[in-house]
Amino acid sequence: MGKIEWAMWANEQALAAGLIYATGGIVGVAGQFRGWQFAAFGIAAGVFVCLLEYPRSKRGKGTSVERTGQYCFTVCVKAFGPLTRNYYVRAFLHAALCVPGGFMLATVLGCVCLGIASLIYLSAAIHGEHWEPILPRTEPPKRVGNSIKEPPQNPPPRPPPELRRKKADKLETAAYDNPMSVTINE
Amino acid sequence: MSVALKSWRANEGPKHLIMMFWIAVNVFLFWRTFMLYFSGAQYYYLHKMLGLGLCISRASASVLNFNCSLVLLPMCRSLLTFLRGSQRVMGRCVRRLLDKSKTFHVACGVTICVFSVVHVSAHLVNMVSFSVRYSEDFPALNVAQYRGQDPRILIISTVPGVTGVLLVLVLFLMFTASSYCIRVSSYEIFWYTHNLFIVFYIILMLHVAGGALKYQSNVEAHPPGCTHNNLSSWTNHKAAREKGAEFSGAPQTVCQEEAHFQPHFPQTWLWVSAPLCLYCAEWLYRFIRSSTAPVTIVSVVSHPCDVVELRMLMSGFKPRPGQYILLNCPSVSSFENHPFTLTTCPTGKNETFGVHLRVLGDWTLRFSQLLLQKSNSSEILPMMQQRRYPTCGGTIDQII
Repeated sequence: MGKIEWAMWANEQALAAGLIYATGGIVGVAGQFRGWQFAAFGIAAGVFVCLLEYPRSKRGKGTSVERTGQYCFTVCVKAFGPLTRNYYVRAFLHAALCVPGGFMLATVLGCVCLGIASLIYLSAAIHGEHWEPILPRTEPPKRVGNSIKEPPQNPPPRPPPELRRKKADKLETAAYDNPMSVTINE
Repeated sequence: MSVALKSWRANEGPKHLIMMFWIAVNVFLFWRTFMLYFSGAQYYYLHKMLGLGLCISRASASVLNFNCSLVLLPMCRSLLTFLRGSQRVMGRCVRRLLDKSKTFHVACGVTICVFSVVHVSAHLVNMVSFSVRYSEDFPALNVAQYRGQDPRILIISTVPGVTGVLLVLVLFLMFTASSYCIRVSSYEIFWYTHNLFIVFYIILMLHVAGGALKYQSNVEAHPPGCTHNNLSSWTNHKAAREKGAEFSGAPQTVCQEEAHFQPHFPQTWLWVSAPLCLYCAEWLYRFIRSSTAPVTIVSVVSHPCDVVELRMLMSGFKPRPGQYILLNCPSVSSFENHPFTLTTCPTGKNETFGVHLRVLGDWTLRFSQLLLQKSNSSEILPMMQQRRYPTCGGTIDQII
């Protein structure tokens, strides 16, 4: 097993867990079940987790694929600096957010899923990973080389026409048909 | 335009047809189970206790049964290879359909996830109903021990509850690791979590054995809604009122005996066991075949741009052009199988087959290091297991 990027998996899990948490919260509040205040907290926490986890981190090695429209989220998350960069902070934040969900039936699943995501983030942090924003590359536009000002004077070297002409006795083994005749005088 | 339509119909039509058929079967199963629980006489009392949650949870369970059994079938790769290669049976149309096996597996998997969400939500509502509408008249029907018991205790203390939570967790792990992004960046996470499916199926077998939902087994002797002398007058009144509202003047039937309730036979065992046995048999076949036939490395050639050409020899191996093999090298990693398209197939003159592999990731790096350093010594190179499958993109059969 090579170097695995745990953070990427934790990110997917946390996003899914946030959605589950928010959905459970909506169900709890809508049904006005006992303990619906925990469900209301669940909605807020789920939405917050989704917003935090939406921007993907840049991969350590290889191409990073960003989620659709994640640039504005990247800018917001980047603004918090070391708080969002460090995965230990995220792990403990998720662990803290998931605890109130355990007190209400509808949000129990969201609580457990967010807890698992928090553990994977802890593992990512122990492996020394951190969050890097994916920013659009601002390279200077490619300059055209000098040689375009001096086009070549001569055509590229080719063998003389006698050799270029396809030999008639080799027609059966020829792998292609010439669209135009290659004999000199036609 | 008509040529494009005809060729679309020939190329893509069968795939969409199969998809429609599969969706139709799912809808039919959902509807049939829903109506059974909604209006079936043997579920009358249970339905009164649980309401719509019962119907939705059981209907989604039947769809889950169907898809959990189907999801294994596209993964029986040796069987699909055999079907695809057999001359008598297969035309181009069917071969193209067989190439879509992975897409079908993904479709079934997504359906399992979606309907699991529906099933879990409906059962959470059922837990609340079991607790709030605890029935004193029919104690056998209850899952709760007393009225108003905390539904979370019900989840933890019943077999279906605990196994259900475990199933959701395993499914959550498998689903979050299966996205395209994870497969491309760290395939090992996807592979190892996806192999948790064995755990999933074992827990699934236990989940359905819990027997929480019961049906009434003596509907003839005790027609639902009949009046009973020993029942509380409130229930009799309610039954009388309902009967009176529906059929004014109809005589009320008297129950001949008490209602008897019985848990179902776990239907899931019937659905899932056949594909599971098939998959396990196939896995065993692949394992035995790959471990009894040794592969000898004949030559290793190093090409520019980090390409290594590997020529191998294996008796009784007859691949066709366009197929790929899975290489497994225990010295590098015991569980990883990496696919490589065959670049040379055995011919009459030369029995060796070959692959070209580009050193890009950690497995190929370690593998090429082992190969290139050992090629100087005279000892036999490490034995490798190999498996052969048709490639999904290599052989393109298109009907124009």
